[in-house]
Amino acid sequence: MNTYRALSKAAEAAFAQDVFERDFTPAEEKDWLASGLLELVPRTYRALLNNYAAAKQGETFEAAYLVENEAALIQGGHIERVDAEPDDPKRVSAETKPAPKQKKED
Amino acid sequence: MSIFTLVDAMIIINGVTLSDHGNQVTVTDSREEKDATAFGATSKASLKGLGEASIDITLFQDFAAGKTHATLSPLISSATPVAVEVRPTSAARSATNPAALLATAQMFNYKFLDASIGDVPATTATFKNSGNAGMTYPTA
Repeated sequence: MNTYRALSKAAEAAFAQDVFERDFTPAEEKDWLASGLLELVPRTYRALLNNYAAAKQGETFEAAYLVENEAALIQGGHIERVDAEPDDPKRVSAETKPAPKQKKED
Repeated sequence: MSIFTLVDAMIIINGVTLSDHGNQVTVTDSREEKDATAFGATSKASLKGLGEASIDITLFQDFAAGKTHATLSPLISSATPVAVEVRPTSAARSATNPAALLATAQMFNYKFLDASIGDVPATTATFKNSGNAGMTYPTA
């Protein structure tokens, strides 16, 4: 699961307005980012070891990783996610976006 | 920097510094040599073809978190490029300590173990360029 921002009306219609989370495959993510319709949104991580370049051990930092790169670093024990506060209004999961109301058929 | 002995090379793979596990690096930046010799020529004419860039790094194997295996093993199954950087010394990039940088590198071989009895197991990881940038030599 990564965090993205829709950059066009078409992308907003397909996913969500502003920032949303989605579990793309690496190929899907690459295609969407290359299309220019979405961009990665940086999130907060914590460096778990002293050999990671972005921050000292225990420090938090912001980064926007591709899904496979993030997985490699988390799997390797280098970083961990520092999740946003649950009431962060900017974080909207695409799955929890309210579905459009359907017309009742007579 | 004048002529020097390589004792403090910097090795950064996907943002992870593994210099303290490495003991050998080879940075290769090459161009295909294409024969363009035509009838009537008295000497062979060669033209440059496509570029190829690679970094070979030998690292002592270590299965602790964040070390050799933990850093390299996810990269063999990943198709997303990572940055690989080597510097002559661990000092910051500069004109006299330039980096060799593969900004979009992929690892094509990973030897989990490659040693005989009594050896200190080491693994050689080969990273090749997977974009058009090729090898760059940033000084800042």
